[in-house]
Amino acid sequence: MNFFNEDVSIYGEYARIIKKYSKTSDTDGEEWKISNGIDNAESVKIFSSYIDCLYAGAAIGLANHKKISDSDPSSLDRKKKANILQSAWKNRRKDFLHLYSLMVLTDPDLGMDKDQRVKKAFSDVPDGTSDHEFAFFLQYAYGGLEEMDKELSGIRNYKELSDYACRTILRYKGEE
Amino acid sequence: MKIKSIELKNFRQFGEQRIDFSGSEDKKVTIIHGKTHIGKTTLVKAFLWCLYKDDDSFKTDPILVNKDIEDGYVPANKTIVVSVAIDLEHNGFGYSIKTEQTFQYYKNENGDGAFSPIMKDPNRYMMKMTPDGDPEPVPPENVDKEIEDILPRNLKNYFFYDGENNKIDDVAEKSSLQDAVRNIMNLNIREELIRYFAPNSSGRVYDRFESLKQSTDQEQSDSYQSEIDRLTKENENQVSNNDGLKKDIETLRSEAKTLEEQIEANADAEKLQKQYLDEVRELDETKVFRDGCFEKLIESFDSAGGARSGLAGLFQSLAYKDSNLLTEFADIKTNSRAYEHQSEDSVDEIIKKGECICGAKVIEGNECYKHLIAAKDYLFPRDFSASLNAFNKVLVEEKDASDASASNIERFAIDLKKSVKRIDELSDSIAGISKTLQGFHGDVGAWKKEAHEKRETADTEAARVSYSESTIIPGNESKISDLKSKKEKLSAASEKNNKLDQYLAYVNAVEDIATKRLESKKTGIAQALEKQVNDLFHAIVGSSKTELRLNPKNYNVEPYQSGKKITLSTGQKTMKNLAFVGGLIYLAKNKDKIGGDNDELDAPDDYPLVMDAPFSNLSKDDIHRACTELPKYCSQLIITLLDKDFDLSIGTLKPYINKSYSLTTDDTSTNSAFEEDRL
Repeated sequence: MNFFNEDVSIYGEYARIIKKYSKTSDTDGEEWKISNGIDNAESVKIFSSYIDCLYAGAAIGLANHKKISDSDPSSLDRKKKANILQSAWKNRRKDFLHLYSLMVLTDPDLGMDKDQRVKKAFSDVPDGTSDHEFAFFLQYAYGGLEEMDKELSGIRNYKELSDYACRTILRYKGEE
Repeated sequence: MKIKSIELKNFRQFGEQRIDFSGSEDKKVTIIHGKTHIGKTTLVKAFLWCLYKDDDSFKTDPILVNKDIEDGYVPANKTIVVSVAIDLEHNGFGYSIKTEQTFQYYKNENGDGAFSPIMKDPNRYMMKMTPDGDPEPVPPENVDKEIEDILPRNLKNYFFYDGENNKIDDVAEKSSLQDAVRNIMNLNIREELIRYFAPNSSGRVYDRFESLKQSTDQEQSDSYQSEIDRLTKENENQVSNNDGLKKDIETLRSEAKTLEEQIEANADAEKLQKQYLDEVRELDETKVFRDGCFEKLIESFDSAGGARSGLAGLFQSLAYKDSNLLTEFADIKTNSRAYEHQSEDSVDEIIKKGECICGAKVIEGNECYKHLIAAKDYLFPRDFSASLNAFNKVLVEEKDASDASASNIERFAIDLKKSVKRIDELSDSIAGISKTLQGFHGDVGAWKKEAHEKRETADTEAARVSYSESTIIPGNESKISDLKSKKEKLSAASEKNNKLDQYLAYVNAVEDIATKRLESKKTGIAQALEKQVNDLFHAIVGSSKTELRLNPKNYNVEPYQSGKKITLSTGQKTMKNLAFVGGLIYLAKNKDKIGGDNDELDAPDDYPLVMDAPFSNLSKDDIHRACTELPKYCSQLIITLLDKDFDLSIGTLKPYINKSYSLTTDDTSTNSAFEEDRL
């Protein structure tokens, strides 16, 4: 698979999460509803595109050291599908490589010394042709998406949303 | 008029002479007789000079100075006073008239001299006797008028008759004859009076009444009335409208008061209502703010702007921070196998050459070869320590962006949280107020607004009423008063004009009556004059064969026999003239009996008849008849006669003569003197 030169499809639970939090013209996406506390709840979307959601998921997964390493793509529900266009991948290639390098440098499960990590992070630069490298990236992305959904799906109103935001910021600042 | 005496001094042939004239009704004739050139005509001219300063008849010998004096020795510069004085009586008043002129004798170098008047115009003095006999001087400027009243100048040729020249005929052919009759009969005065009443006579009664008329423009008057009506109606409307407004004002103020009482009684509710409204407004605003915060917070989660933004950026930075990469890989940076100025290409070049820099052979698979291949991992572009440093540098830079993103998220999150909290507080408070105000349905704020509006409307309408009562209505009343005044003036002018029209009608009637009376008078005069002239002429001539026809327009008489105009002989002309003068005297004496209705203008006048040689051209019989008839017509008859005519007439005239004077001279002088005859 050459994901920099082709469309990439995410299936199953992760496709559901991506579609749930991304603005899309698809009508089959699950809605995330937040109430203002008094009035009716409204449907909320955070990310402009699927790739933004997937990318945020990857960052969250990496920060939380959460990988879904045992997921079998073939076991995923093929009916739930989020298709990311080749052009979107191409636009975000630099970001993807940057995050991938960080994943290689920090992943505790790679079994490499520092030199090998550095060499892998900067010399074995994925060109989009290696399923292995993409699968490595997706492990974090899937982990992060699950984490994201766990946090966000429980949010029912503005207060909870602001609490989540504040918690995130506190963690970012290292105060939590 | 009767001439009582004449006194002459240094006048022509006369030195100092005075004679009295007969004033008797029975013996009314005075005769002055003498030879030729003795001074008879001079005496008649002396009357004319005294009364009218008339010296026309002295044209051939203009010097009035007494001939004796003139012809004698006269020293140079000698002055002589020439005078004629007449005493007369007219309408019960006595008059003394004196005319005098001073002459001076001038001599030339040869010793020849002549008299010349010092003042060209003679002086004339008049004294008027009051009925008590007291003399009273007549102012010089009034003397002419007094004389005109006594004997008008243009009648002088008729009553100072020059028989030698038959002057009547001369003047009869001129307009003065007409003037004479008109004067005697006061026709000129009547015509002048009629002119005062005649229409279109400028400056006279009719014209003056016309000029007093004023404009009575009915259209203007109607216009004034229309405007008065309009203004009156407007004021009525104003008053009516003001009454309505006053009721409205009262109602509005009463309603406002009720509302204000209601407001006062519900002051607490008003406070709560105000708080309720304020909080509802704040709630709405806060909700809008909250929605904005929410939108921005959601947007700030997105990482559409790149890896450094949104949640992705935050967690990426977090992962980097947690990794401690700089510390963890610090030794990579100082790896001894790295060559700062070598590159993978330079190693490939050595391998290609088969000989290392150190001189060792480089053969694929040998130690040297393996060593070089391994070294390439640390050379440019696979200089991993450099890449790691660059990577770290990027991550540090990314942290700044992440911090900014975190700051935004935090701000929006806090704002959102605060707004949600505030919304909850406000919702609770509003609910509490609502509960408190439950059952109270009034809107105190609306009441206040309504009360204020009612007060404001009432004040506005009160101001309108005030303006109407203080300005509009009085202004209109003033205009109405002004217009009424103007209209009344027009009405008054109309009434005045009506009166003037009545006066003008009277004027027309007066003019009409006066004109008719004048015409009647003229006809009567012409008829009476013609009759008297014919009667006297026939009596003097002794025959009625010749008829004298009088032209009623100019009073000229023409002789006709058997319907044909004839020419009279000189003697007949004299008799015709005597008859005409007699006719005039008859008219003057009988004004009140001629021409229908009479008035004070028809008071009879009595004129003397002074005749200078009237019988010069008559036969003895003619003289006899003339002397028989003339005294019947005159009240005073003064006649100068040649001695021969005196002799012929004395027999007939004697019963009428009271005074008779003979004019004589002696051998020592050229002066003439009067010597009264013993009859």
